Amino acid sequence: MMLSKRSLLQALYGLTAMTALGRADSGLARTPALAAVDAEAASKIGRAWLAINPSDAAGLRTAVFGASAKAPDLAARVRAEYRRGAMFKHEGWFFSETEARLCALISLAA
Amino acid sequence: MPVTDARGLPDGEQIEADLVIVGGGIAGLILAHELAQSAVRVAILEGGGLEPDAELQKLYDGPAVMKGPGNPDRTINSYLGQSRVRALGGSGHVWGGKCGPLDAIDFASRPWRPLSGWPFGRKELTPYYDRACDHLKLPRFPQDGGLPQGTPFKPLGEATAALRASPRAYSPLSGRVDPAAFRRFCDAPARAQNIHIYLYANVTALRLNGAGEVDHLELRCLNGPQMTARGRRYVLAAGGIENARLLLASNKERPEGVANASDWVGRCFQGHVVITTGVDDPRGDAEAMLATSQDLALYDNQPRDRPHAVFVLDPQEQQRLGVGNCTMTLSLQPKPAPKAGALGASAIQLYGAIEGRTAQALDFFLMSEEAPDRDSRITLSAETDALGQPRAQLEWRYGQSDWDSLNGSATGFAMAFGGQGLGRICWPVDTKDVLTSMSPSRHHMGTTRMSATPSQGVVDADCRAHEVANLYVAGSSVFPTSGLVNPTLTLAALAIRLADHLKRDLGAA
Ligand SMILES: Cc1cc2nc3c(=O)[nH]c(=O)nc-3n(C[C@H](O)[C@H](O)[C@H](O)COP(=O)(O)OP(=O)(O)OC[C@H]3O[C@@H](n4cnc5c(N)ncnc54)[C@H](O)[C@@H]3O)c2cc1C
Repeated sequence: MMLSKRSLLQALYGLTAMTALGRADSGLARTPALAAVDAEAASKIGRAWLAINPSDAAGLRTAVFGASAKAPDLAARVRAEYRRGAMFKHEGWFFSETEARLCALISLAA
Repeated sequence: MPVTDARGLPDGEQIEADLVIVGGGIAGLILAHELAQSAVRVAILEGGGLEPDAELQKLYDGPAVMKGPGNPDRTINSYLGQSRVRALGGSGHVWGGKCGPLDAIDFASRPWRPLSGWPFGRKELTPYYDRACDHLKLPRFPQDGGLPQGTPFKPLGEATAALRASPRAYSPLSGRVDPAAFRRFCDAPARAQNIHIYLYANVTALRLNGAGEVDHLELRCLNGPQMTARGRRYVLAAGGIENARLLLASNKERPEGVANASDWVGRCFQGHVVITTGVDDPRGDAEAMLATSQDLALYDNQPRDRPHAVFVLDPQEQQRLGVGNCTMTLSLQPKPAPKAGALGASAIQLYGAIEGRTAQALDFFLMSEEAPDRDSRITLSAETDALGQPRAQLEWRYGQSDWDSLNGSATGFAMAFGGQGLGRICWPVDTKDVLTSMSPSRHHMGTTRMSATPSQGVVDADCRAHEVANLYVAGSSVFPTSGLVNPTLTLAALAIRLADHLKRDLGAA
């Protein structure tokens, strides 16, 4: 699955707006916080995830952002994943599975 | 009573007292402080002088090796000589002073931790912890595991169900921190009428009588006279390694040594698993790191003048993960942000994206409980020291459960921090590198373990040798499990408890 960097960033900006303190804040949405996610480093994590979960690639976008137009509460999902240990460890860092999939999306867009 | 340099005593001198204490380290001295001005005549036989001395220190040397599954053996031959001090005050000359009480779970018999369980619980030690804090000039720690009164910062939000703030404070009574105050602490007992401190008086053997009790002790000064000491009761307070060495080396009446019929003396040696990875790590990005947006002032390990806290996993979480107790200690020293492109930078960016908060990167180290293992042990070497005593040798063994517990705890911290949106964890230590990444802890525990029954240990709940009615042991060698805090506050509390017992026992209460 290929995503353009632009559409990915749009999705991520949406994510920021949604998760940041729960406000659909257009100001935050325009804040380039997520654009600051270093695509190259995140891609390393994403590629490592895909290397052990190759079948994940096809449904990544849906897995992360859901099928509906309604924006998912990613912070709540990520926290829940950490709580139940649904984590991916890469070079020492513990990521939630959704974070790893986000990185996989970034790697595919890069 | 005076402090006597035993080197000036005549050969064959007989020292007599009601209570003979072997060793004037923190354990022996606190015992003496507690017995000062009582009706008990006390002799402290201290092998060292007033200050550390290179020749005497060599008596402590001996071979040592660390072993653990999947790791190459690590020879640490300087460890026995460098992780303790042979002088009045003992390792108190150099200790860091970091103190805290054990957690309630450290005393519990935990089905997922073999050989766990003390003969009593945390509550039993509360009054003794309070008195030990007074001796060591520490704030008193509440029994419920909360922070001492006056702690200026609050623990992380109530929502952090899986994490607990475990309190710590630094004692100023260390030769390294306040030498004058430490000297006063060492000298004070001898100002009491009933206490006599003998310096350079190395105990070389406990001799038993026909009833299996200690009859007398043999003593030697380096290049000096030989003497004996007799008492109604004896306390071994020679440190976590030397207590075992002396019992094993006292093998004239019993080949297995004193108090060793059930073969526990010297066994179950435990330190703590202390691992930190630093900025100098050749693996570059491989540092233990917490990325968080929280105010962590309470968890700052550096200032000595106020209590602080370390993180521990909630007992239920420990049980769920099947791990031992483990602490996470932070350093709030400013740390350069991870380099662009480094994984740490991505983790921080992702955290910011998900949680909408800016995180900072901090170093931390983990200190984990070591499981008691009969094969982790002090034995006698074939080599002898300058007093003709067999040297101690250490085979320090870790098991797979120690590695699993360490990794499981790191995972538990990652779950707890991530699960509450508090931060992200990097724990880069590969199991095959644990031994090389470890700083061998100077906490010597378990070699004369306390047990409810003689078949399971060396001393009973009163710290009296199961087999030898007039012999007691003081110090961290009696800990059945290492628990998860630096040991000295607990060994001091146990010494005070022992002092109360001895006063009753000797009719001086
Ligand atoms: C560098 C360092 C830092 C530490 N930091 C901390 C810390 O921050 N917090 C903490 O809780 N703990 C710390 N510790 C451990 C702490 O110092 C010990 O737990 C404590 O001092 C032990 O006291 P003790 O009296 O049981 O034993 P020791 O201090 O070993 O005292 C034993 C005494 O017995 C004497 N002796 C030994 N053999 C004989 C013999 N055969 N005859 C006569 N006398 C003998 C010795 O000379 C000594 O005086 C540290 C240790 C070191 C080395």
